Amino acid sequence: MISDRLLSRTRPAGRPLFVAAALVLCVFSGHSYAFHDGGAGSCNACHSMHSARSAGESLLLSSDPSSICLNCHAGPGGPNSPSVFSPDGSALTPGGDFYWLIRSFSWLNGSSPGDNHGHNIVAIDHNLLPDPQLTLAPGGTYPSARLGCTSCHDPHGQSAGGTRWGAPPVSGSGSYGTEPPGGAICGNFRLLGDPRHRPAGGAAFVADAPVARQSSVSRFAESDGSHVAYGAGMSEWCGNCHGAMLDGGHRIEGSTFTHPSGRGALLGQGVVDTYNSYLRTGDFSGSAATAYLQFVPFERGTTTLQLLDPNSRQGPDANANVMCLTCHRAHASAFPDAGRWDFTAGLLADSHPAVGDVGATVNDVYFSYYGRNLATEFGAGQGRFCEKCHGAATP
Amino acid sequence: MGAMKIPGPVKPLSSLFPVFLCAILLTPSAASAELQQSQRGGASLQASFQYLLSDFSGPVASQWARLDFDPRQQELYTLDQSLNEIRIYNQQGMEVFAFGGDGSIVAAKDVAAGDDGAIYLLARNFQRDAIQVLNFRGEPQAVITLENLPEKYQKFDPDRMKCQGGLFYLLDSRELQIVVLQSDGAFRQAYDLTADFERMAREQDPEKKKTLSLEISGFSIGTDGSIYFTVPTLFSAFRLKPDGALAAFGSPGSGPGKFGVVSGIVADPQGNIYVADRLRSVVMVFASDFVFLGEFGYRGDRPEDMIVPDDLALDPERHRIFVAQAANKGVGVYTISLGR
Repeated sequence: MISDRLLSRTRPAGRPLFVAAALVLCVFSGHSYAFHDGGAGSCNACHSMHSARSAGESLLLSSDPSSICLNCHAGPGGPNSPSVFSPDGSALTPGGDFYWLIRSFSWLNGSSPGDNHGHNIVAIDHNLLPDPQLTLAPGGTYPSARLGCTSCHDPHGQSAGGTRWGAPPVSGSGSYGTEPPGGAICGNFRLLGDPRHRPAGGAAFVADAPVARQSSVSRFAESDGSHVAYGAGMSEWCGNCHGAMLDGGHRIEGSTFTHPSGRGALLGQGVVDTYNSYLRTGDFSGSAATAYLQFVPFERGTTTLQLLDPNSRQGPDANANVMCLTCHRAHASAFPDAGRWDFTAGLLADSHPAVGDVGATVNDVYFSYYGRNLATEFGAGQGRFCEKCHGAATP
Repeated sequence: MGAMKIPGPVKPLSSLFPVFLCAILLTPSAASAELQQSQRGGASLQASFQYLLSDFSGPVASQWARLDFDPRQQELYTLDQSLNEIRIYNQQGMEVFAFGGDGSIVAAKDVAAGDDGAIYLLARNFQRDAIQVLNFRGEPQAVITLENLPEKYQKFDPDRMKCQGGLFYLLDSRELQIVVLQSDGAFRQAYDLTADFERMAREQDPEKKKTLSLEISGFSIGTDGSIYFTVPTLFSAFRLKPDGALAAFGSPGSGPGKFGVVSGIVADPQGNIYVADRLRSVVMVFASDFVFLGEFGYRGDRPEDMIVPDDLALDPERHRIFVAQAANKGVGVYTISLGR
């Protein structure tokens, strides 16, 4: 049983002026005891109004905004853990784990530095530092020194600028395909910014948040049977910062091939057939009903959330298109360029991190492919997952 | 004629560094007077910063290390999860032993010092590796598996562990379940807190506008067997007595005694409760009746300051509190003097 003290503990205390100020600050949240289930979270979980010293901007008590986010979003991973920065690579979220940014691996004739494993968000309190190589976003002008969680995610969960811009109030999460009650809307998928979002140090976004849906059962996990079902707009949204990489601007390193992505980048019947029949290198005996592979997601080409099933293993059809996240993870991965697989390995069995690499733990190897043993599941001769779309010959 | 004393070779200054370091570590820091603290009327809280846990190279960096204090040996155990490394510190705060970083132990989520001198590791893969028993050298001795668990707890996958009074207290922070085991792994008692937390969430949000992610953060056991834990999304700390009575305290805010993002929690033998706050970078102190007594800490880079404090451990005999922090700052050690 819970004591009577519990029942009385939420009584407002303190000066009426503070209560009024708090109400004003929370007016867009609708409620002050929740986190990002659509709309704003609790003010007190991020801002410190009565602290003796406010070290950061906007009364944030941290070295930077991302450090605030990681107060709650760092920790061991799990199917329903909101951690995106684990101590061991166990945050197997669709976006990946920022853990890989601090893991560098080297072997006899190569290396895989951590700062090449994903988006180098700046979170000083958690030892995440600015990108040491790039000063601007590839294909754009966003300054890497200002890159953080709030560059992409709106911490207040606003959609279309919030009620002050005339938008209906946000009343639920936009990540799981739920229907909002009348007169209200759900937030954007994963609180992603939309054209009203103005990240610090960057220009206002121009592309809408993508249409996508995650399984509400395993909210922060990814597998073939539970994943983000992408509908439309993912690549265009990435283009808010990486615009020049869209529309044929993404040249593959060391090649003249430019990989398409986005709404106009339909897979085409040939790629659809290959995706749906491909099981492993040299084995094209699969079927469309079970073709979905977590390492090679795609957009289904629809803006209707109800048509998206995050638990479906159905492969693509003629409406599907390739997107940035078909090959890359949004946060970070164990591999260079935030790859969903090791782009540098001819055979995936030769991926790094590997047992024996300097800097690699057994956990690193295990979590690099989301706990799947590729050699057992796909065979030691498994080639790159480029083959899932392109068959034996990769561009 | 007496024997003439022959002076030995002059030692280079560098060889004296460990001596200086020891002297510094053994001397209460002058900075302790600058430790920011506040107290409530009628209460007397004096907190002094002592040092950061160190080895002979200086303070040992770690990020949100897991802590456990062995009162019998006056040693503190830390688990660095990213390196899977256990470090052991003596009562002067100097590292005396370390193991595990070379892959010699299973991946662990938590560490506990046993009353019998053994070291217990809660394995990351609990279904496979359970509780590992190590000797004082960190050498594997045995494995304790969980037996006779009720059907309701079949999904139980603990991520925190405490060992006290010959019992293991295991917490699954996401399933909101606590299981108590005897020293041989036999099931003794279990608590499922889901219904209590959901009811509390409903009371906070009667219109059910939001769905909270309920997860336990800090976790410890009092000397009387009471279980203490925090739930940051409820802005609350809890005490679960052995008879099953659950009591909560705390309220959201940014002033002294208010909860931002609460994390570690411990209680001393008198029942006073210490709660860390990641956001406010303080450790708050409450009496056993949940009256706020005071707090100490200040967000900053000075050794005595705190950056995102997390796990806590308590040395009841010498009135020391150990505070694990972020930013690779390691573990800060403070002494507490408390009166009312």
